[in-house]
Amino acid sequence: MKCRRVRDRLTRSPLRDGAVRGHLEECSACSDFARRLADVEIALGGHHAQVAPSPDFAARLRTHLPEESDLLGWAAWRLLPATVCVLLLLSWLNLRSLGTDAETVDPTEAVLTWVVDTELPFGENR
Amino acid sequence: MQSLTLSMPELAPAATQDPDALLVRAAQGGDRDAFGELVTRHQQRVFRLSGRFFRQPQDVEEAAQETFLTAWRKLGTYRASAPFEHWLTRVCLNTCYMRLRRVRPEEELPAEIRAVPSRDDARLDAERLLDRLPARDRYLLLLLHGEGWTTAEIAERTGWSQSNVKVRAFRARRKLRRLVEAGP
Repeated sequence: MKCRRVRDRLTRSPLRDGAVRGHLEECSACSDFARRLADVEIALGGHHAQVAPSPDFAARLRTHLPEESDLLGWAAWRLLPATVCVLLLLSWLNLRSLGTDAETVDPTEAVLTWVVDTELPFGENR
Repeated sequence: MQSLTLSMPELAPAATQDPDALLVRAAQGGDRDAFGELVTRHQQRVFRLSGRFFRQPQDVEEAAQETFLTAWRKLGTYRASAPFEHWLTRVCLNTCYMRLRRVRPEEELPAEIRAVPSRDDARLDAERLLDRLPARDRYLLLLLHGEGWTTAEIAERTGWSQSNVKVRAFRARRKLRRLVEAGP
């Protein structure tokens, strides 16, 4: 097995099959590479600061919490676009209804007017 | 009585499944004491997870504090479809990731590793290699090898797609390999 293929396999998975193990026994460069890669993986596993919260952490944090008004302000900002859209829609509907009120004539009234005003072909109204 | 007992989980699934549900609801209403209790309950977990990404204790504490402040600010977006713990883990991971991206690697590296070229010491050598990786790659490798999470678990907890995690993990491991090949 070639060095490149062995290194590809080692990069994908730390598990070593017989072919990889055989190559590592023969090739010192790949053996060194495998050792250093394993060291890094072990270092990744042990990479931890091991810090515990201080006893007063929760109490100190509580003093840093923004006021409720800030929370509401944040919510208001989030709702601002929706609020503006609703207000625009309501304004548009209001304007539309005002415009149509001025122009429309009640259809019942129009028909009654026509009936009363129209002269029948026989010469006199009913 | 039997039917009442059987119907209980259906009536209040969030309250029965998530022990934090009542506290979260109170905190969402602005109850700071309830949120303080949530902090007390979850601070160990948040510190442990933050400690995975930073070496300096003050960095870990700042990341944990930022996590809880973000959680308080965004508590209104939590919908209780998943346990609060999972949501908080995601907030913590996002916070750590953003902080990792802000910190330059050489600033985060402890003085003893920066100053002493200890080629014989495998652990410090590995630490130095790790520190040369970009923040995103380090973040993923620490989740994979440090936390021992699968790509599916990382995807679920970070909110990234699984294919995205797989591609990023592959690239991160490839960069790590190049660094190892290049030597210290």
